[in-house]
Formats: sequence, structure tokens, C-alpha cells
Amino acid sequence: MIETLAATVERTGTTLLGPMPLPTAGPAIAARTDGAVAIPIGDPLVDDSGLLDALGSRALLPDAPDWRAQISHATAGVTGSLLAAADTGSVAVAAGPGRPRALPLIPPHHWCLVDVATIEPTFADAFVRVAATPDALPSDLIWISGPSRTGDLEMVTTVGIHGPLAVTFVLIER
Amino acid sequence: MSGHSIVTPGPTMRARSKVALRDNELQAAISNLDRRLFTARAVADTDADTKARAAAIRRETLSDLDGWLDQLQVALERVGATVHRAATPAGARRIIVDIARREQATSVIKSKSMATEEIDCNDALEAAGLTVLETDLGEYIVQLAGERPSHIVTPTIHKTLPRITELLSVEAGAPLPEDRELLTQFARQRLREQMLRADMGITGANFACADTGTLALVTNEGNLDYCVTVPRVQVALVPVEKVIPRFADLATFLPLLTRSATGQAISNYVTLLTGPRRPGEIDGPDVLHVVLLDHNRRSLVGTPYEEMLACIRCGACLNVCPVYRSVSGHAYDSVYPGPMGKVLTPLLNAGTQGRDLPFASTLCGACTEACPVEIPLADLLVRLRADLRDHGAPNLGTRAGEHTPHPRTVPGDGHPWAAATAPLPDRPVRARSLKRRGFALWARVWASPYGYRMSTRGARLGARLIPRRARWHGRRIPAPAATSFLEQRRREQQGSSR
Repeated sequence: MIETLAATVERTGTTLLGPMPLPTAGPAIAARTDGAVAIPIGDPLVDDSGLLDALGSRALLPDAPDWRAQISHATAGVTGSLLAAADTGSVAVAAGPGRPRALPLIPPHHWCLVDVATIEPTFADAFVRVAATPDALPSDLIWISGPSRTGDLEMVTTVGIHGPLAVTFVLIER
Repeated sequence: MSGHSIVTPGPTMRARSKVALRDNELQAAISNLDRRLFTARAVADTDADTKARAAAIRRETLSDLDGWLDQLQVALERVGATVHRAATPAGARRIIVDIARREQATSVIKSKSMATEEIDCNDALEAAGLTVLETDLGEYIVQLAGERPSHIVTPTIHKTLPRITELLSVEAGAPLPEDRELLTQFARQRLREQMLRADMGITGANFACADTGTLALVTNEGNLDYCVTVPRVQVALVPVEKVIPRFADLATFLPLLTRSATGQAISNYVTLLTGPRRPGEIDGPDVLHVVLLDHNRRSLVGTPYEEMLACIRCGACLNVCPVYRSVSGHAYDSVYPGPMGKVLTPLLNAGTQGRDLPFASTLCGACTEACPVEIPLADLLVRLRADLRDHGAPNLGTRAGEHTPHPRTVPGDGHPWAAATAPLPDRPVRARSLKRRGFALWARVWASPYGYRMSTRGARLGARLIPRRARWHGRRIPAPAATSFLEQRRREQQGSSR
């Protein structure tokens, strides 16, 4: 499954990191970023990744009083993910309390922790798993398949319009 | 005031087409659409089960559209959204302007939505004193130019890079280089500043799920996500046919839509919104207003024209249409261009607008074959022609009970009109004109194999006399094949039997 995902992200422009054990993921991200990094509170993957300690004062948490003003200055946003699809290179990221919608959107680099056990072969397989619990849908569930892109300039794909310029999936092996 | 000047001028589609065919710049721009021709291949390659399933779910929805809409409203209200129903574009404009006033919004950001074009949403909001910013790059360029999108998926297909550079340079106040990356970066910076300040976001919806109240939207740029993350108010304008019965149906529709629209297995972003922000969440809109737009759509249910409501707006029919690919979207002078626009426009406006559109077709059936949800577009065009001629408007007289559901044309299954059921009304017998005599002579000559062979051989010889560079109606006349199809086939059969 990881091989399929690796082949797909080659096309979609996402970078893969890992697989690695969860506690090493936080330090790995901290070592590869500068400046303020926006992170969630209460995300099962991110909370146990050691990211908060590794970032120290660089961490921008959603309970910061000036979070709204700070988020547009963060250099990176980190999220966990519910599921991934190998054939499309997609991850499903749910918003919720402590997990703002802005994290995978406004900072220029999105780092997404992906538990390799949650990678499904196809988008449809992954989608069906979400659809199995329609009562548990978050207010915003977004499927992300790489850095933001546009085809509006003469039908030629240009990367990095509104959303992140770069996306990295950090694969976690438990 | 953005206004909507029509780039291709003229009183009729025929007149505008002539202008479009002579416009070399437009022709160069529209040739970029060739990069989307493979979407037809993508539709053709999609497995038949998925397409049949999607087509069936669309008709399941249409069999009880009002019922599914009621369920959708209940589901939306359960997750905290406010639902409004608008019978007309004017009604929808009034509702949206009222929401903006009540919420004391001043700055609106929009994600791409053809429905908002249909109701001329921007003009209404600007007249009410709000600033409105289109955030999809293509829509932003079209807004700067004061135009309408010329394609339902790729709004700037009528513009070349030099023209886009000019428009963005005016906005920048300094000349920008003609470089896609740098232009994209300029737009990113410019739009980001304004998006981060907006207090109202207006979106459409690709699908609305009746069981969960989820709105599903597909994008590549991420601008939609700004529109539902930063502003404190979200308005979603949802035409009634966007409702689908179940959230799980998205597994069928989302990949089918994006593959048919751009050839992508899935779009870069798929955003599934279930209600506004919830307690404890620090971004997303405080309130979500969903405006369900009818605009004559519900009156089509139970008539042969209800097939058009199955449309998922992928644009595949535009990409393959020989007329669209020659004249581009503005020649149609309608919000929805191309084959789907030729059918939908007279239906939405009860024949008061776009009356000449159904006649601007070669009826080649390429649209019917390209449609991923099996809408018999060519049949509907023929029916509209007859109705407009005989009744002056689409005839919606055949109601439920009288109308048997239209059998679907299976792509690749012979002639595209093979499934046409209702015969057209007899034409009044006219005096034997020269044209009729000509056709009668043709019929007589081609009735005999000898006459047929001689006439086609003569035509092939005659065609060689046409100069290589000759153009007719803007199209180059292709050189005839050296041997006829029948001869080629005969040779192949002899070859394979050996």
C-alpha cells in the first residue's frame, strides 16, 4: 500500500516522510521547519508525536489569544488524518474543537500525519469507511490530494495558488 | 459595478459565431481546450457500472425531487443550517442581499459557482453596497475583465496568457511578466489579503446529501476552503437538482465528476460541509444559510425534459462539442454554454431566452456520448427545436403518468438517436421546392448501389479540386480519403480471411 501511495504522490506533488514511529514524528517535523508552526490540540496522532515539546515556543496552539492574527504568519500547519487513499494520494482531515479548519489551508506548508494502518487502496474504499458512520460527520471534512493548484492559465497546471505550496505526508508505523 | 459585457457581440448565435470564428486571438485561446479532449476518453473509460449507477441515482432523485428536497431541508436544519427556498433568480438575490444586511456584512468572497452567475448575484450585492471578490483564479480574471465565464469548469478558456497578464498588470499597477508561476504568486498574495478580511463567504454546492445535510464541493485551488473558514457568514446557493439521496452516493459521484471534468481521479480538494461551526471550534462560519434555487427546474419533473436535471456540470459535453470548440462560450450569450447550455437555457427561461441555441447544433451526438450520466442531449435538442417551432416554448404539457421515462442512450451503442422514442410531429406538406426536388433526386440516385458508387467516386474526385487551404464557416475542409470506407473494409476482410 505504501508503494502505491509513493507512486501516486510522485504525480500529485506531495512529499512522503517515513514510515517512522509516532514519537519521532514530532521532532522530525520540528527539525524541518522554521518559525511559527500551527498545531492542533486533541488530535490523537499529533498529541502523541512529541511535536509540542520539540517545537517549544515556536508552537502556535489554537487556544492562543491572538490565534486569528497569528495563523496567517505561521510557516507550517500540522494535522493528523482519519484515513488515506493510496490510488489518489488523498488524506481525510476533520475539523473540530482544537482542530481548526485553517491548519491545512492557510500556512504555506501542510504536514499531515498518516497512520499507515489507515491507508485504503482506493478513494472509494476510504470514502465508504467514512460513510459507514454518517452520524459522526464533522462540520468540515476535507480530502486533500496535494499542494493547491490551478489550470486556469491556458489549461496548464500551476502549483501553489491559494492553499499550501507544499504538502508532506509523515507516515506513522505503530 | 462589474457588469457583464459580452465579448463576442451580435444579436443571434449565428451572428456571434461568425465574429468568434474571425477572432484569431479567441481561436488561439480556445485551442487550449484540446488539452481537455482526453476527458471524453476518461468518461468512455470509466467502468460502465459506475456510470449506470450514477445515472440511476440521478433518476431516482428526480422521481421524487420534492420529497428529497424536504428530507434535505430537515437534515440541514438538524445540523444547524438555515434553509431558504427561492422560486426565481430575483427571489434568490433578495434572500442573499437580506442575509448580508441582517448580518451587517460588508466584504464578500466567493468560490466558483455557476448558480450565482445564473442569478447575477454579484451585481445585486454590489448594488447593495458590498464588495464582492471572486477567489477562483479563473473567475477572478473574468471579474477583472468585467465578463462572464466562457466555460462552466474552466472560466477563462477564451483568454490567452498575454491578455491575462495585461489584466493582472492593471490590478498590480505595474507590468507583470508573462509567466504562469509569477502571475499565480501575484494572485495568491493579492487575493489572500482580501480573503483574510472577508466577513461573508458565498459558495455553491456540487452535491447536497438528503440524509446528512452535507454539502460536497470539489476544487483544486483551496479558495473555497478560505470562503468557509475565514468569514463569519456562509451562504450556499444550491439549485434544487443538486440533491442526492445519500451521503454514501458521493463515493460514486465525486470521482465520476472530477474525472469527467478535468481527468483527475479526484480533485485536489474535496470539501464536505455538515452544518456551520460547532461549539468549541474556533474557525468556520457562525451561521450557514442554504438557498435552494428552483428557477423552473421543478416544472420539468415528469416531462421528457427532466433528463436535463440529471446534469452534474462536469463540462464534458462542452469539451467535445464541435460548435463549442469553434466559437467558445460567449457566442452563446447565456450563463450555461455548450450542449448542456443549449438545452438548459431555454428550459430555465421557458423559451424567453436562448431560443436560437438548440438550432446551433450539428446534432452529431458527441455530447450524448460524452455525458457520464447518460443525458440524451441530442434528443433533447431535437425535441426543443420542435417545441420552439410549434409552441414557441418548451412544451411541458406532458405530465407524470402520460410521460414514460426516456430510455437512455447507451454510449457507443450505434446511432446517438437510436433511442429516440417520441416521433416529431409531421411537418406541414409544402410545395415541391427546389430543395425537395434535390433531395428526391439524391434519394433516387443512392437507392441503387451503382448510383451510390458513382456519386461518391465523383464527389471524391471533385473534392480534390478544392484548394488545400480553403475554409468554410471557419473550418478547414479535410482532404478526402483515397479509397472509400467500404473498399477499405473489403480489403481488410480479404486480408483477415487469408
